[in-house]
Amino acid sequence: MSAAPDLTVARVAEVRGISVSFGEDVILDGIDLAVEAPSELVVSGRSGSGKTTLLLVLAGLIAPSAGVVTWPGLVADPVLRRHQVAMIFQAPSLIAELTAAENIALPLRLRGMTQQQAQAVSLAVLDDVGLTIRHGAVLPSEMSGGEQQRVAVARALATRPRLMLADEPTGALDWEHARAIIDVLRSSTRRNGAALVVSTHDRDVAAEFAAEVVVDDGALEWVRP
Amino acid sequence: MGAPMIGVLGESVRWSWGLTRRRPSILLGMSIAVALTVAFVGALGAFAASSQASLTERATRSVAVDWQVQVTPQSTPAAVAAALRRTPGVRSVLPVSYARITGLSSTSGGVTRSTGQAMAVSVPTDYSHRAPGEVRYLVGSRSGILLQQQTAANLGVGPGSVITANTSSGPVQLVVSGVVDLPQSDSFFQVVGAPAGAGATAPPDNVLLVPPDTFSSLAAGSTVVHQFHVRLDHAHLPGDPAGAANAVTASANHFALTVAGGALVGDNLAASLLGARQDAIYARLLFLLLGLPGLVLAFAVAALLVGLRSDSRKRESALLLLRGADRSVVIGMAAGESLVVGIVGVALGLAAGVVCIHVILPGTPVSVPWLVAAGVIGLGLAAVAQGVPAVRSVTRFAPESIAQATTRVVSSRPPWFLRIGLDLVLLVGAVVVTVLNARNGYHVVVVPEGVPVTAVNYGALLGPALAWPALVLLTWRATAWVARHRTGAHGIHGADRAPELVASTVRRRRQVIARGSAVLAAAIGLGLSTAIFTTTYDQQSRLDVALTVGSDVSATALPETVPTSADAQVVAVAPAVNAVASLVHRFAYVGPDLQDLFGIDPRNIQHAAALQNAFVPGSTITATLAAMAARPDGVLLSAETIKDYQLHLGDRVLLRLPVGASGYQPVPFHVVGQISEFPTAPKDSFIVANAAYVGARTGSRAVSSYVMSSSDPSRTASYLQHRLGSGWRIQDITSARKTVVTASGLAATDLGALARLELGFASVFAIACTGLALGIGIAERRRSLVVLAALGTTSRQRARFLSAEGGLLVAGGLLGGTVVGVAVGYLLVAILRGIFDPPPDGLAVPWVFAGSLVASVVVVGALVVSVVGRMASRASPSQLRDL
Repeated sequence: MSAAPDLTVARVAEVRGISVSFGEDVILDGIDLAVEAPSELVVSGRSGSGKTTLLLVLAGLIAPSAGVVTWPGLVADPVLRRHQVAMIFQAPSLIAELTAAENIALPLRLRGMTQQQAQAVSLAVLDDVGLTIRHGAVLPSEMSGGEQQRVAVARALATRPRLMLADEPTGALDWEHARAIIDVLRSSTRRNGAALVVSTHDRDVAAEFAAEVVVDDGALEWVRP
Repeated sequence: MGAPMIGVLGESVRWSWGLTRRRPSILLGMSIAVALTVAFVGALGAFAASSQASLTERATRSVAVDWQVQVTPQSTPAAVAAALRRTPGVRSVLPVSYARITGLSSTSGGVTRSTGQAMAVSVPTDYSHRAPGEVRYLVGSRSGILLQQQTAANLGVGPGSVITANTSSGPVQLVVSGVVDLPQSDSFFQVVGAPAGAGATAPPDNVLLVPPDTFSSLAAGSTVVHQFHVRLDHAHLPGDPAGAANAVTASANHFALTVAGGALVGDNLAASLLGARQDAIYARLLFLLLGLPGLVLAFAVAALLVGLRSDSRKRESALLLLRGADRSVVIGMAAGESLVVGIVGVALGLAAGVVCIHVILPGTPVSVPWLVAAGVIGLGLAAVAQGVPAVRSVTRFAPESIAQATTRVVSSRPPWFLRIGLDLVLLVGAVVVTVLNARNGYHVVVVPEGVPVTAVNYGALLGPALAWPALVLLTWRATAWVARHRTGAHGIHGADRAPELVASTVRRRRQVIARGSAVLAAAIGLGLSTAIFTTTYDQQSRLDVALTVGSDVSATALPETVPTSADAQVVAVAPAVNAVASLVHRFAYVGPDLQDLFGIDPRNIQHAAALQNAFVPGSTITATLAAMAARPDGVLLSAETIKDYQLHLGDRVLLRLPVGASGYQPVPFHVVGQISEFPTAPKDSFIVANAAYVGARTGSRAVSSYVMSSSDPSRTASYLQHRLGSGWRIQDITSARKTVVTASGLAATDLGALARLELGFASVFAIACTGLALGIGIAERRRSLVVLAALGTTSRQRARFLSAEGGLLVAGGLLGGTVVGVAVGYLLVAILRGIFDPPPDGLAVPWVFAGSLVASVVVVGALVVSVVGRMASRASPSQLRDL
């Protein structure tokens, strides 16, 4: 994972005419969106408007009921493509039986990094998200919700993805830490030339981003630029 | 303040209905656990109820004559007969009279043979029909003058021979019609009215059965003992042997009262029933030792299955309580859920139990009281297994976030009973009890002869009762220890592997894994210990039959047959025979006692006949036969003979054997050992000597029988029957097992039925425990599996986490179960030695069952990990949105 970041502008993900339904509920209807790297995009909307669903589609974790999802800027192999995509979920989603450092090291180790390298990266990103080495040895159940979320962010950052998707990453955080996390996400993705897509219903967070779309009633509308 | 009861009931019904509609599989799964328990209890109870009845039935069937009523001088035969016919429950009354005569003699070829005092017995012509089993016809006619086998041998006569009966009024010439055996001669010739504990008297050496008109001429001038041999109606006897014995004794006492001393009753039936008391107690002990662990296991399996819901139950309870539901309402919902599970489970279980009884225990009647008890147990199980966790989740609820409540890792702290060392305490207790019992010879059932009281040394049962939980809990401790020391250092390292992280999850989930291993060990231990016990019993019962038959196959020359070298050749080439040995059977006097003498070739008998070290107390068969081979005049005597005559190894003894025409002459032998059992030998004292020496000293080397070990006894027996003809009695172990009543009243059929039930349920429990323990582990980690999938791991990578846990659980359970099974099996065999006849030298290993069980557990484990693991990590969109 020491290769120089690819700063070439490329379309990393694109959805065309996608619709997603769960039973009789239409969550997304005829959405078109292209995500380029490097870029930053915020997806805003009310709770339950379909922001999370859109991010899950972009991550390739759920398939749309209609339409096409492509990842032209990522590797074609679906398994290897997942290594280039990182998603931060609303809830911390840590593995309960692993310490914070082990949670961060997990995707790195399963992608071929040595134990020593993974450990070094874990400690480095812990520092990036404002946690200490002591936090690294602690189980998720022994941390606050905010600390757990920061570890989840660290886990995503550690993999240096080409496409970073963050679903309400600041939901469990106080304002100071929320701001710090958004700053870390943005600086890290800029450094790596990656695309950052953040979903939020927080207007203050949304205001930080130059590009914003709104999802409402299944439809997507550009707010800016 | 609690919600009103009607409100709680209403919510409970609504909740249960919703759960039934939306999650029927979960309710059905829990109901199946309850159903398994109900079916097991119902079937086990039916076995327990019927085994007592079958013991009683077998005890009554083994008695040819229920009462031997002897007329005393205070009455007359006619009066006693009339009184008997008036006695309720009397089915048939047969007059039998006994008179001693001076002796019998026969002359053949100028040689006269004579016997000492003989007993003439008058029996009615239909005696054998009305008292079957008392007389066994060997050769010749079934009526007329019948000589007992030994008497015929002593006189050297057969059907058609003329003998002289020397009576008080002079000699009487008689023509022998047939030769018979009296299998129940001990009771036939008992001293009726002897004091309790007086012991059996030896039957007369010479006996002839005669029709009543012939008897009068023989008995003239002699003292005649008049008896009536009575058969009773057994249909209304109580089911258990002790109760039946009491009923028969009461009836006999009532009859004795009605004749006011005019008759004495020899109560053979009550004696047989009292003898079955021990077996009845052993049957109850078997039920206790094999049945109760199964019940405990059933509860554990049910608790495991209910545990599948624990996470979702915690979440549901937390959700409801956070949204303001009253605690009584939440508990009421759980109660409604457990009621649904209980009712469905009991209904399924009762149906399954009845099917089990018909399939596994054919012929066993359903026991309604036991089915009711099983139903109550099932409802209780559902209430406890569901209710306790539900109440706990409500009473211990703290108002934190739902997510927090469900990210809590299962504690890696050992449970309280391991922290206080309960497993070690139980193990020490089991060892101490076992050592003490071993010193006392494991006498668990004490049934004094002639005394209608039994004593059970329940302390002896503590050994397996403590060993079982001790070893199961030790399995828990050992598995947790192994998990705790997993580092992944010895794991396979590769580009996409993280053995140290896999080891971390195993370390932190060690108590969950260890708990699953312990339950699996309990299930496997139950099955294995039962299988060891029943296989050992089967081995010994086969040996018991082999002792009766002689070996796998035996060919015995009938009295009129003179074996030839041609017969020996036929035997030598019989198909499927592994080894052959000849036996010489004679009678010999040890002092005044006439005993059976078996002449053997000590160099080859061991291969042809089933001999065990238990037959030669204080030595081994190999050493004993070597001593016989080293000393031509060596002789083995019974313990009773050695004790009665104050003999020691190396002592010279003179035994009187029949020598040619000279009659019984003293022949010197030297004592080389003690023997308690020998193929075809009677239960009382007998002698084993070198056939060559006996032949040389008696002038007769005639072989009496051949015993053979065979890989296909039926085929060998069929060949011999065809080639040797009607002059030989051919027996094989396969046919004999179906008809020979073994010395132990607890017949193989009883144990076979219990074994099928236990092994069947133990196998189901073992497989269910494997699947459930692993399934629960996967269910508990479902969220983690979904996260791993979302992180881009492959199914193979996720499977490594599951298989590490599953592998340790299964390995721990198999190893622990093997230890539990072997240890408890050993203790069961030791404690229940009274069931075995002869007692085993060692344990028989049920390789097929053990191998099948291990294979089933491994296959089920692999299937659950791969199939359920794959399904569990397949995230639905709603689960991903909730992450």
